[in-house]
Amino acid sequence: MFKLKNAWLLTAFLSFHGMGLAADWPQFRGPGGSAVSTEDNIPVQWSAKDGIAWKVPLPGRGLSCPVVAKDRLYLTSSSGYKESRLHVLAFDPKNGAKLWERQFQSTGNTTCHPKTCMAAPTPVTDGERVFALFACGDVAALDRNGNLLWYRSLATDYPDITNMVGMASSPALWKDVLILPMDNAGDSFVLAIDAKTGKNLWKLERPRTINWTTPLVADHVAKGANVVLQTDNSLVSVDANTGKEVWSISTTGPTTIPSPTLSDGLLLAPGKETLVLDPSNNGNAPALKWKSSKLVGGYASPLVHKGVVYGMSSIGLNAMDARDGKEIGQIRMKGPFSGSPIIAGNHLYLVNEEGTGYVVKLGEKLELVYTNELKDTILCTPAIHNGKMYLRSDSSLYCIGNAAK
Amino acid sequence: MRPLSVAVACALTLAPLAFAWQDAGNSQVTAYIKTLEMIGTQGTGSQEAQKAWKEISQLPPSNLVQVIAALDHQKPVFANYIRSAVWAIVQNSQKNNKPIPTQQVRAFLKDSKQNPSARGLAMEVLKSLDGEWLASEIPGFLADSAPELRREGVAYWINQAENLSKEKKAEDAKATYKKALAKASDKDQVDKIAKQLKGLGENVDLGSHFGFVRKWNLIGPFDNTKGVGFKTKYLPEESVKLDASLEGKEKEKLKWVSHQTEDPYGLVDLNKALGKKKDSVAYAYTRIESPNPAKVYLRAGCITALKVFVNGKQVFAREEYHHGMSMDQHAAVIHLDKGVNDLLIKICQNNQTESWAQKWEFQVRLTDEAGVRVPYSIAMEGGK
Repeated sequence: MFKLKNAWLLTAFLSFHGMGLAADWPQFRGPGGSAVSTEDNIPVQWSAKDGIAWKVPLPGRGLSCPVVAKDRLYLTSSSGYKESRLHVLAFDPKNGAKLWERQFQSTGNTTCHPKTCMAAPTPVTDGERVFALFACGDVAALDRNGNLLWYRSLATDYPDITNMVGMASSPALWKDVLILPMDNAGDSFVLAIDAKTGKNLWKLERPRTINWTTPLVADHVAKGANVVLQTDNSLVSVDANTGKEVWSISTTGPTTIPSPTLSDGLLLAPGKETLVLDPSNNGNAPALKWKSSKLVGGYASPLVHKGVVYGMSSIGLNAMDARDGKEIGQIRMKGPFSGSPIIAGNHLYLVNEEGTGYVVKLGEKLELVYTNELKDTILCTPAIHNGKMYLRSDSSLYCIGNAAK
Repeated sequence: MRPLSVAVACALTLAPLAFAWQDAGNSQVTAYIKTLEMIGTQGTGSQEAQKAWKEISQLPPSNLVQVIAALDHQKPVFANYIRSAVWAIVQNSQKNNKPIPTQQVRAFLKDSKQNPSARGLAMEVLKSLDGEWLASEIPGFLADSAPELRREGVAYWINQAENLSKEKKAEDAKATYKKALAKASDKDQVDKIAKQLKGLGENVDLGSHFGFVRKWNLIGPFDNTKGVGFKTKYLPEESVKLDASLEGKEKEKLKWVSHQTEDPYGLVDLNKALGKKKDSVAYAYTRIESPNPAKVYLRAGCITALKVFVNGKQVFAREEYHHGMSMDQHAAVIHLDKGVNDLLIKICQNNQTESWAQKWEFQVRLTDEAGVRVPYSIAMEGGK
């Protein structure tokens, strides 16, 4: 059942943290979905009035996060009656100038919980192209200049997709394989699309349950890449080229909201019991190192950095030793949090739904160094790029940093 | 001249322009559009469309209306290629300081023979380019056949009524709200008007306005343990005999019961009508009398799994439980014969125990494509 190469852990780490895209934040939770930036000069203090390099209005709502690559910041929004108008936007991350905007109309059902909307999934980019998945199953592929490469209506192709709460999983990209997570209560699947042509590569049937986790792409040079899929009863890894299962773990610990993370030599499968797994298990499925019920409280996904696992509990941030799960720190924070924590340099950043941004200095002892009030509803995870932090609300896109820089 | 007169005069003057672009349509552009129109399911035709889209997006603004006119909402993927190309032309023209022929776009917008969605797109373009002129036209959109234009018209007249209300001109406000209500079909606008009219002493029959089916015959429970009932064809799916006694779950003898909902949104609460049951299936049956053969949009709200049958044929199925309910969350295009048509709804309940997973209810209405109720009556006696 299991065919893993020991090398994939190392190569995955290098690809997430290597030089090529070091400053880019190309997908949900940044490089490789690790939620860790290599940059260390990110602002730690801001408010609604100060420390904002620029702020621009958005044409609609969204829970999707900004993504940034090769001097383009991409974002999605939805607007209009029944949230049926879909927007893909490109900005200059230096000054917030809107470079282009493309509008589409939803081709699928836009029914969803009022807290969410059609612009819930975060787009993914490789710098040359951006792929925007919307909760209604519309997928737009555009180049960096806004040229439409292809458009898919998954609701037309697969009309039994159904999720009345609203889809929110974000797409992942490996080379020219675009992974679209469409776990839902009806025709449930993960679809791999040829990023160049928009045509199907493979379609994997999935459990018929709604699921908001984002797939994890784990590179390994020799054989391509694996795609790790989490739901509430399993963790499955499939070959990115074929969709064939590489390994699977039946488990009840992980849940259907926070997403898995592969970073720092560990695979985290978060949920009511977050599994901390060793992915380099002699070619077998990842082995359980330890588990904890104190790393997920709400929607936020945990992360691991420099030997410490960070996650949210019902009272705030928890830090645990990555080796054995020993608790090494806790900071009380006021939730709720829809976004997830990220790390840049020696600081952990986390913004709650009221727009309160917590900045925690990392070290032997965790220290909450700043609490920043943006006074806007923030449901996204911050993006980091070139010394700035980007946040979006339902009405604005913020660049936090020094305007002159 | 009053603004409206100016607008009409302007439109008449520009009318020839509205047709000029059709005759002068660049055949190459037409070929590009045809290529986009060939887009199929599952990405077929995407590579050819990619090239055609790029060509179209780089057209000069003089071709803008030709591209807008191609939009056909019945082909939703194609429509999105067109929609995005239109915005690309607009943005490229602005970037390169090329004037956009707003007069032509105006004429197209005012041509009610054009595709309603294409006119909606023209309106969006004008919002960004020609807002002042558009604002002067919006009051006249109240009865427009294009839903997007009509929505703007309704919003304008709601606003007018609100202003009259603020000025304590209650009767004028009431009349203006009614004027808006007569053409309103979107739930948010209708609800807003109904609330304001209620405050002014007028009750709106929302069920009638929206076209909800309110008179049913109900029967249940049939077994849905482990979800088996969704696929099981119980007797009502074979034929409906309202005086028959059927064997239900746990061999219970079941009879059809007549039910008329008083809920303003046509909600039928099965827990109240049939008793609170879990792992169960209920059927709701009625006879719809249509004055004409008609293509109709059956719109349903249901928080659990449901199937819809019209004249014995299944037209919709959705197996999802307790993930949310909203008016019109489901839609099926159906055909009604002239005269009496059988409408059967199958509503399934599962065994979730959470407090938020106890509802067992549905609502159904019959509308046109834009959500406006279609003419029909309930014919519970007789039938086909």
